Amino acid sequence: MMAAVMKRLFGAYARPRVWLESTHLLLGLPVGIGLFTIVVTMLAVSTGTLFSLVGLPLLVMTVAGGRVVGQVERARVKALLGVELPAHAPISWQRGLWPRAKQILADRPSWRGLAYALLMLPWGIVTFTATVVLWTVAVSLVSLPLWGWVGEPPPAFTVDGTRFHLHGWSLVAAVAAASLVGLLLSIVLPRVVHALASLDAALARRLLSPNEAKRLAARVAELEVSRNASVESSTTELRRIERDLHDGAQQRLVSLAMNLGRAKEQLQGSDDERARELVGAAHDEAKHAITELRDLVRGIHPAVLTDRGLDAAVSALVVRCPVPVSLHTELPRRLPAAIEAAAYFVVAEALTNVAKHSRAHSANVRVAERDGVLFVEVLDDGVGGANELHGGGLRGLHERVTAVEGRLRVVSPFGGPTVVSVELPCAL
Amino acid sequence: MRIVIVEDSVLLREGVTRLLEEYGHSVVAAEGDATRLVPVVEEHAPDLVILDVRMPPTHTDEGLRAAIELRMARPATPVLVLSQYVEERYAVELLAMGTVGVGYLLKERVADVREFVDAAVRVADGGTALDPEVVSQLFARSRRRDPLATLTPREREVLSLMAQGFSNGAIAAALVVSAGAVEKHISSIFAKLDLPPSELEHRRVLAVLRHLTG
Repeated sequence: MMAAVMKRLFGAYARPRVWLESTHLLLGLPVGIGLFTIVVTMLAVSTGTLFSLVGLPLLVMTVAGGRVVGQVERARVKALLGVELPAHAPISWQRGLWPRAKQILADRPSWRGLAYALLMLPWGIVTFTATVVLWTVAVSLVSLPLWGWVGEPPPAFTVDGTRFHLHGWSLVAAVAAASLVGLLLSIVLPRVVHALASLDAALARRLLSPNEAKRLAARVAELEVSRNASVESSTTELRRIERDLHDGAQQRLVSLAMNLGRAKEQLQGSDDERARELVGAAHDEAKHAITELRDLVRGIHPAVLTDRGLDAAVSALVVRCPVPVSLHTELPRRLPAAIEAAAYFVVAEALTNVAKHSRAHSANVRVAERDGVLFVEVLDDGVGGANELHGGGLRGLHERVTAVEGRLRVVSPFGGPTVVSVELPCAL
Repeated sequence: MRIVIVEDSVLLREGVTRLLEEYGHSVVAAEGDATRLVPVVEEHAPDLVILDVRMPPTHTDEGLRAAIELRMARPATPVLVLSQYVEERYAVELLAMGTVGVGYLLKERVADVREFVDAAVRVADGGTALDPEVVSQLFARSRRRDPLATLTPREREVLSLMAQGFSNGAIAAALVVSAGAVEKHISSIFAKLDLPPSELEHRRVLAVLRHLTG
């Protein structure tokens, strides 16, 4: 019980944090003095000689130093405070010395680094003073009872010309009171140090790290690029698989089936019924395998979509659907492959659902591109109740559509009708 | 019969060549792509050209485009197009140039060797050979412009076989009915679809296809 309370109140001293933070705050002053001196000197010298040969290169170097300050200080904050500050994006260098010099002079992170260097002096004074005062007062008050042992004379003080000597019980009471204050102070000390260190880290973050909103915007742009790349690459990958199957397995199977067909013809006149049967069965199997492989490959990426575009590919889906479907398309141009594929598979899946689950008598497919947006709508007069969450196929569609920044909507009340609609942005 | 084969897969090119030779035909040229099709045809003047749809360099539809080009340059050359997939859209493009001496079959039909050779001969003789898959797609497409809906199931079967390019005799054999019954069905179909009656088989097929693709 007692141990738990002690641990709660003074445990901070057993952990490295308070020590590291105090070190950091103490270092603030020498770092501040150093940075301030260097930066002010460099700025003064370079602006003073700006119109001589050395002035401008010196100024550029000084400004560029702002980035170095940032690097070093971010490292110090990370090492001592354990706070990871994101670095600025590096300058994307142009060609030539002069354009690069101009880039540096216009570089905000560099100037912010310099501002930080200048601010570190006053701030370093604050952190250093506060840390020194806190630690010395706390240590001396807590250790007050020890002073008697080492032979210090009992303390005395003077109020209004009267000199008071502490001795006896009053001495004990004063020492006890002082120690108590010292103990309270040492309980508070780690928290105060932590608050100061947090302020320090916040200052560094403000000046040495890219702005959070900007950082997020940059991150979003970056992710967008990589997502587009992965969508694009998965589309081309699927087309490659389709082509490989077409050139490889499909041709081989057709050749096999043809040879079995020839064998079957050869055996036509033979008496070996068993052989005829076996070859006939193998021939049928091979033909089934071809049909299955063809359907599989069409599901991966239909060739007609690549060759003739969305209009032709969707028409092919419509004529294969056992439920009568009317089709309206307004597609004045070919669209990006990933968009065409997404739209195609939306119609394919929706029509599969129409055929399998809807009990519809007729359906209606509309595919139209207007003002850089592709609209796809599949409507049926079936029983409804299609649910995006329940139908695995519909959920797969949702992923496919969001991967190209589209939106999928399924409206399917019980009793119907069901409307699956999609909007896909396709830049002009 | 003298035949030119254009097919990029060596395996199939040689297989089909051997198959045709077994049935007494001669393959006068076997090409790996369609770039030299017109000069090759001009050189050999074959009775039939068999073409794959997907070939180098782009592996999309160059076979089909080459077939259309060839039929524009030499309309009298019969062409049989083979493809891993049959699409109604391709069929319509191919048939737009006329239905005399045209075939469009799934590649796997070569497995049924006798039927395949029959289809090749039919096309070389100026007939038509359309894959049942294409025909059913064409049926589906025109399903709603419907005099077709007024046909009886048997009449639809007969029409489908006609569209594939079969003669009366072949239809009768396939459906196991008499030639007279087939003729009765056909005149009923023509009346319902409002097509001009014709004695010539290929003109009849032509009328049917025009109805389906138009």
